[in-house]
Amino acid sequence: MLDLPAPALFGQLLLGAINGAFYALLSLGLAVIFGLLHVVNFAHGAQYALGAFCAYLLLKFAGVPYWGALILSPLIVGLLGSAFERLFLRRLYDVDNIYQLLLTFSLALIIEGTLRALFGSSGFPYENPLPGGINLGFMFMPYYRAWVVAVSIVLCVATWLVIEKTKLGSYLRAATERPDLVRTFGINVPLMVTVTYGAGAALAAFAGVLAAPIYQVNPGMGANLLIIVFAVVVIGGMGSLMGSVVAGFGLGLLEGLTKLVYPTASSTVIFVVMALVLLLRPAGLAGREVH
Amino acid sequence: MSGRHLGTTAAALALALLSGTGTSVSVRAQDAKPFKIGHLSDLSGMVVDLSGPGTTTSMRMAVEDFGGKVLGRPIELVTGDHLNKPDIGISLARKFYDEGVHAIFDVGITSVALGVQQLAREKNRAVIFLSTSSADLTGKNCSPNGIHWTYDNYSQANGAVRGAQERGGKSWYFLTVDYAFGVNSERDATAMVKAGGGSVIGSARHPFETTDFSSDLLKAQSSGAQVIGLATTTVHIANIVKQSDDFGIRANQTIAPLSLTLHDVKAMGLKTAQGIVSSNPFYWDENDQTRAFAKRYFERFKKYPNEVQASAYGAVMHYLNAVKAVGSEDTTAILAKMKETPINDFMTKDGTIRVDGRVLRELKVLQVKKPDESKGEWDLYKIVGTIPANEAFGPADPSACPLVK
Repeated sequence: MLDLPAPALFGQLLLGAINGAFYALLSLGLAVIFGLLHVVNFAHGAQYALGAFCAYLLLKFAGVPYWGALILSPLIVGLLGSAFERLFLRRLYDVDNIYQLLLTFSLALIIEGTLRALFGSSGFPYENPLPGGINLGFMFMPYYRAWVVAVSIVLCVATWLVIEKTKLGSYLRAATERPDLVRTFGINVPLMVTVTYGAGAALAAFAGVLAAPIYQVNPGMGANLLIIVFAVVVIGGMGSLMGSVVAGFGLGLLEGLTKLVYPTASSTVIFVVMALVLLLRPAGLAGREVH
Repeated sequence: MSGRHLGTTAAALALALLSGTGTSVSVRAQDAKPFKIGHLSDLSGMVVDLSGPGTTTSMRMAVEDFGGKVLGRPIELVTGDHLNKPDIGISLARKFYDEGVHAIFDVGITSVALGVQQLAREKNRAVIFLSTSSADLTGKNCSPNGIHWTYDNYSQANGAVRGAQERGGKSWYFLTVDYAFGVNSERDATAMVKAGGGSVIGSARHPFETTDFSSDLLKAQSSGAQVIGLATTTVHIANIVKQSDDFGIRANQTIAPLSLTLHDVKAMGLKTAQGIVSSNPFYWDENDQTRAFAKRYFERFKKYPNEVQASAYGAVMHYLNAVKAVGSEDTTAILAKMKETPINDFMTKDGTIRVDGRVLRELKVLQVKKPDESKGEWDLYKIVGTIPANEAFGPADPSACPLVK
């Protein structure tokens, strides 16, 4: 590995960080939903795609530019997510986890199938709002990708702060650990759960809007990422926000390095790490053992 | 919550899946026993825009224009969605043939196509491949019962390589999807590049599930190759071209997708796709006949047809004409008739079917228009050249296909 040219190394590391930003942002939403609701949200990839489609449709039919969509699209998907939680998911909290998994998975299939039936499989272009870039000497850094990394870090830190350091966050955490007790304090627990699921879906949609100018807006865009993101969440420790974010960036970097050293393994390296983590620390790197 | 419930759920899911995969569309009232033809393809999945319900539409138009009847019997078009899964695809094909379907059209994904090729031979029925690209269908997997109608990976690569080399692209770097299709395309294209006096500097492989190509693109960029050839699937091409612009690659290098359809270009948008050169057996805006067909098709399907969807019309027409001429259900006679009759329709002039099943026709070299050259949503290409039928496709290979002597 030492004989690698430095520019290639830095280039791949930087690209790894950019991909890591996406992994982190997506796994953050999953971790929020799992950590607080104990629901494995298989619809996350579809909600990500839905976010991107929302941005595209807002632009096409309402003339809302990228920056507006970055706010509006997560709001819309968040509301849809909340409605889904209230109407369907809520009924399954008392039964085995497998039912929630089946329900969210079916939602994912429905969303993906509907988007494909309405819009076809080729997808749509989405204009890059920050064209151009800067030559860093070792690689050409597109402005838009720098923006993606920056905004992901900010959002990850902000989400962590809200949940770990604010009063709202402490209510949320308490509501999921002891809902009955928290209710006796006059806190509307069902509402908090709805909002949490909505917020998780909104995070997925936000990542979708961020992705739109880089990838095609395409019904299948979430399905491919979801598997990797699940691996990231498992490695980070199911439900641990910090764990997911760190694992997201870390695995992005690792993937970048693997592409340089042994490209064939780049698509499997994350799963190898996942297997190792599950063997050695079944609760994940930052997860707590559940007794 | 017991296993019984889970069992019920699984059974319900399985039923739902089964009912979604095979439907039958009757074209005419069924007084006499219908004459059945089948459309087997991906009707709802990853590559539905390549063929899908658009091809069904086109096939139905052909059946209607033919008069809806052959051998005095109504023609019935049966459709099946194989979901890109070999087990489902091959069992559907078996079901089709067992229920009296005389010819299956389209198929798509190679894994299913190779299975249907084998099955058609066993049952002595016809299979006419439209959206399948593997040239093995007329090579080591050739069959007297199979006709490869629209294109193959050789003809697709041929146009792209010629197009780029005519514009001075001598050194190449390939981005290749890491399974049989990509590897074969890269192999064929490499041979063409070398035959044209060029060289291949290197290649990078990506798995099918990838969405981010920046790493591979940077390698291609630092290789200094004049042309970056894309031996990958339609879904990825749009992403690669789009991402290459992020890194300013096209300022110094040319990107040449080895296969590109109308809908890929539409999906990328002209701003991204402009200038890309590819080859194609069909473009809707070529002449009055193609425009007339495209207009009729658009009225029904609300999209313009690509080469697969357009060619389905001619394939069904040519097949039905052969059935009529032969005057019986005899598959061997029908196939022989198809092979001895020249193909003439709105997209094919004096096309021929080679003994290994390869349809030979002229290809158009197409260049994607600049945004200001385009006058409408579907006005995407200009035709910049043609490749004659005898140069467009790979030569028949007696060492691979025993039908060739």
